[in-house]
Amino acid sequence: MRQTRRYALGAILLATALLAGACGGNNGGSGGGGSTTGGGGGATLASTFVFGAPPDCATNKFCAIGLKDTYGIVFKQLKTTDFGGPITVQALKSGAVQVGELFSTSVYDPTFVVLEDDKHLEASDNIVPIIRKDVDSATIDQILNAISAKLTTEEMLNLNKQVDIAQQDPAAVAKSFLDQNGLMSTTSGCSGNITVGVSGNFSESKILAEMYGQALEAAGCTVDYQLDLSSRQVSDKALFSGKIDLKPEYLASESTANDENAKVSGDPQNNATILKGILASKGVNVLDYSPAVDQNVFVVTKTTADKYGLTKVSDLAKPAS
Amino acid sequence: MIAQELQPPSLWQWVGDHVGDILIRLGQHIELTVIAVVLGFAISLPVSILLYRHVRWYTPITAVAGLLYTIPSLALFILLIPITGLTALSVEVGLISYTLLILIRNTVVGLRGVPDDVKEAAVGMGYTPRQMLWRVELPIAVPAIVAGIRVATVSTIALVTVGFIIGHGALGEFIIDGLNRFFTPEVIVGVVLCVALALTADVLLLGLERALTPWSHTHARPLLPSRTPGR
Amino acid sequence: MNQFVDGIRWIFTPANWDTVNFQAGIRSQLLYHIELSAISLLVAAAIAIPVGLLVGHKRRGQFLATSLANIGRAIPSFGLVVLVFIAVGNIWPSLQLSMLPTAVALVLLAIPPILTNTYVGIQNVDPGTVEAARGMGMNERQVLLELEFPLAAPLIMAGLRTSAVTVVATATLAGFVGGGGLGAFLYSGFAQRGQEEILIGGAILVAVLAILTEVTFAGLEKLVTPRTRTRQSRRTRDPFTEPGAVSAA
Repeated sequence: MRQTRRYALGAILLATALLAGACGGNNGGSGGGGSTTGGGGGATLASTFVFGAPPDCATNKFCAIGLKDTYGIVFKQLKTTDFGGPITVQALKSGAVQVGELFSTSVYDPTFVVLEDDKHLEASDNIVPIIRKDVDSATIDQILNAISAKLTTEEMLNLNKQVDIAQQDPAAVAKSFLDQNGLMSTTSGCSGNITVGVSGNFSESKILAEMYGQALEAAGCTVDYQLDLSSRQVSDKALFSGKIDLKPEYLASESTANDENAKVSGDPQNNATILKGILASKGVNVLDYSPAVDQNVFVVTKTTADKYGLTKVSDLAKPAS
Repeated sequence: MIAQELQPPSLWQWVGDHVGDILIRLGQHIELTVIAVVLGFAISLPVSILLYRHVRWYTPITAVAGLLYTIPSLALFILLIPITGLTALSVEVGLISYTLLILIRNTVVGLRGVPDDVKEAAVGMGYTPRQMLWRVELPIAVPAIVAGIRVATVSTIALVTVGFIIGHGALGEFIIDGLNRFFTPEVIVGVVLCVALALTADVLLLGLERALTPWSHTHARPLLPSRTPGR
Repeated sequence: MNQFVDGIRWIFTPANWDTVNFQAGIRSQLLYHIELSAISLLVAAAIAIPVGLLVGHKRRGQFLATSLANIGRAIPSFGLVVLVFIAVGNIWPSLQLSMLPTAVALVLLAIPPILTNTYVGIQNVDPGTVEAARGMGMNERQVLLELEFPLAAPLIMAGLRTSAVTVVATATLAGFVGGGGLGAFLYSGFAQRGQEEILIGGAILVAVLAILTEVTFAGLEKLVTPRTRTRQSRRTRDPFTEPGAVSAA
């Protein structure tokens, strides 16, 4: 009994020590999200703003790193919200953050102002289907390329809006897109079993996966769907190991995800070449890319834009008055 | 381009349109739960019998099981990724480890609860230790064992949802999808079905317990609440 | 296996305690996590213990207490956090990214074990002793606070222990709904490529914190268990019949 008491007291002391250690020398970054450490920026507008961004922003050269290197912008605080989703939107609307990172195909609110990427930080992230060599065929290429040709950024945004705002089903939205654009059953030469996956667990990827899958099905292939893959790490692993055969991806992001030093740029052709090179060694073909791009955009509310006269990203580097 | 502005469906509209999906997820959820509880039981029963016989192993083994039990499920699933991969196996291993503490504890309590005079009478009647176990001790321990299975099942059903992190969350996938687009009806369906499934399982298992032990329907002991595993 | 080594190395790198990837470091997130958990547990206890004392003392509402325990165990914590999070966004948008949504969900999850244990603890007090106390002239409040409550303390503390571990575990989810805490490392660890040590290290931290919580409260539980009742204690508190073994009801 006495031993257990000593043991219990020891545990309490340990816990208290941990607590004391946590309390002492607090970095002032409590309350979630966190702060950017020092760095340049002086007294720019950005240094008075809180930035709501995805969790990978701090180490992403198309986010925090690029903003600093290309624009000389360092925000007062970087708050992790979500991947350009409703949490970021809500944070912008409620004023919890002044600038938010959304994606070009998910800016639904007409009162949001997308700041122009005047220094061309963002690489061209066109939507592109990537498929394992061993299931690829000319027929499949034809079907999928036809879909890609008809997909513009605005179209994709509308489709996303139906799923994210009007809460429609990705499958239904995909089907109506295919029907309206005459992309269903254009041929019947598809044969074989294809598993279609997503890039990550977000609506756009699911819509695209459904589009690819339904079109292939209508052409005669047997299609399975694997829409629960939670992130690119997961889906890449699945694709390279053969658990899925095909997924929608993005020229620049997929390149840098597999090769940090990939020299992607604002030129989609350049990015496509790079991606083809990277994925060839993994047994994956890169088909034609679509005009639709889904890349990072930096957004403010109309109120904020009017108040500070913001139209482009470099405006954030203006001195704070 | 779709011209009209579509309205988000109401809860019942959405349910009506997605009965198929809902049933599929429900099936996945049940499958994951059943496998976890059955395997957990298959492991814990022989272990419990061993611990019942060799008392000195009880504390260390339950300490290990207790440690696993305390680790929050989200953390445990993530820690299993390097070992068993981003598969349903990781989810199952995690779920099974959560059932162990409850099942082992309850089974051993049940076995310990066999009155001494009953055991003596059995010995007197010439029962071998094996016969004693299967014909006397285990049957008497059934209420405690099934009670443990009940708690383990209810807890497992709730924990399956956390499997979303690996893409195997069954009903939990409704929850994460609902979060991703702030679509409350979907989240509600996920949560409500989870609770309904758990309560149904609880009632069914209670019925099973009553059926297996027609002689012991009067228990004066108040319900001792059990611990919810770390979430 | 080396991923675990990387994770542990990440935890023991002092720089990471200040900042991780230019954002909140381990110290800051740990503090957030503990603060969130502590507040939620205190609020839950402040609600559940008085109610449990009252219900137990009056010996009414047993069915309610039992049902509450069952339902509490059946609710998926992740679902509850998400529901509350979205609800707070609709009612009080400016508070959505604060600790509030997760805290509310945590309080709701923490109440059932504390409430049920308090209730059962009071109920378990020998009625004869209570009668004797009344006979000695104690009024109801004295009976409750000076007799029943101390006797029920071990079981109440056991309930607090259960809730504490649940709260610390579920607080991890705050990081998935725009909040902070150790869960933020898990959320971003999944997003970062080539930085698995954050994911694994974060998970190890969560596990360690939960275990420390359990051990601390187990210690507290032993402290409030009166020594004079050792013989009685051993029967009701021996490891085979600790809360965790549910008898047929």
